[in-house]
Amino acid sequence: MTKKEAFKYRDKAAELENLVAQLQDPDIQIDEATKLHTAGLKLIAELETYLKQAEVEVRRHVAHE
Amino acid sequence: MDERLVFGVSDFVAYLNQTLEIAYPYVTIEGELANFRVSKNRWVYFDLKDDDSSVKFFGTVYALPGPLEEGMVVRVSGNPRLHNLYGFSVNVQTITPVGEGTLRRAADLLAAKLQAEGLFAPERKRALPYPPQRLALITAGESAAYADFLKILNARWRGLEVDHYDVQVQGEPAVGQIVAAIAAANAAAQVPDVLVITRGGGSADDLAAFSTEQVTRAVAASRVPTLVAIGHEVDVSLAELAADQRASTPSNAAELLTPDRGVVLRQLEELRNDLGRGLTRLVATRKDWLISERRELDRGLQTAYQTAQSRLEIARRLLSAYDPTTALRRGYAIIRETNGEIIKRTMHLQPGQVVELTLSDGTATATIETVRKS
Repeated sequence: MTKKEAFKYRDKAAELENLVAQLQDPDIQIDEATKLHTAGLKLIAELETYLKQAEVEVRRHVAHE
Repeated sequence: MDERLVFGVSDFVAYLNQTLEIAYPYVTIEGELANFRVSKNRWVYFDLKDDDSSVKFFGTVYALPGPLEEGMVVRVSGNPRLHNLYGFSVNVQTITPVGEGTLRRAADLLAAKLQAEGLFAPERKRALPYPPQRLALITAGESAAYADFLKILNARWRGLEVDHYDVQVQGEPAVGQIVAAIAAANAAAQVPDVLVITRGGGSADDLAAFSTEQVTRAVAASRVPTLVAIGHEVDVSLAELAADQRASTPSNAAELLTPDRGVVLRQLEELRNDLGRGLTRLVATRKDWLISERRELDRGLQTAYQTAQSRLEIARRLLSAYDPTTALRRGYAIIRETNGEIIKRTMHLQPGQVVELTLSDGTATATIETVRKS
């Protein structure tokens, strides 16, 4: 895991957390909520892909020891 | 007696000394120490005596093996001489305490002196490098101690540089050789990380060199940290007390200096497993987090929809409550003047007035016949 990737993960994760927090605002507008939800799903997909790759990498590391 | 043989006093002294030099150039005398005194921190005077006789001795403090005490049995070697003013004495070369009691007493006195000087103080002890990269080994090359030390060292650890200083570890030359080896190791071009002085067990006599003042001081003065291991069972030598660390045997010295490779490899293996587990756990934790974020996200959107929906419902109900057509459907009608103004009270009506009626499904025109106020 390079430094750049680690940072990217951290940034995206923070963005997702922020987005979920915004969604919890009781005065949020529906279209705004829908927009946030869509953006959240996109972030989740990216993070999932990243973690899956990381998992493969980890397995490879552990197996090679 | 030959009458011609009359000496002047100085001639006699010279003649006698010459004779002594030929007949007894070097004597060793053993006896009990008496009248021991040191002058100007440099000159030493004492007598050796037995039940019947007493002999005078003269020497320097440098010949002393350590602190001495009246009544000790010592063996003194030196040159007998007749001094031109002070009479007969033996010029001292070496003094060696002998006899178990004397040796012990001499050792105790020396130990007390060096202790008082702080040579054995715990705060002087330095930590040895673990493991060292380069060590100086001072011991007899032919000894079992040498072989044992290297065997254990190599079994436990590799890649250590060992500079061996071959010395005698007992007998007369031992002290000088050991002191010289300590100095040489300290002055070496590639200074070792640690200095190991070792020998196997032996009798008190065999181990004597390691309790001499010279060796003990050299160990204490070594800039390179020291490990002294003299195999024995009861007494600890003074050199060991002065060392930064002591070991019980040559093998034990090797054990103290180096970790066991096998143990280190096992620890590394465990660390590697932990590392793998840690990495796997990290990814698993992040995946769990992502799943919970996904749930939150969905819940957030759902809540937003539900909130909007329930607000809509409230608005709808309010709207319908205020909707005038609802009332018209129930049978009410709106009465307007012909100009369209709504009439809410009887005071605005009079008989014969034409009004417009609005009902749920249409309008009508009517004429007021009578007005009654209720």
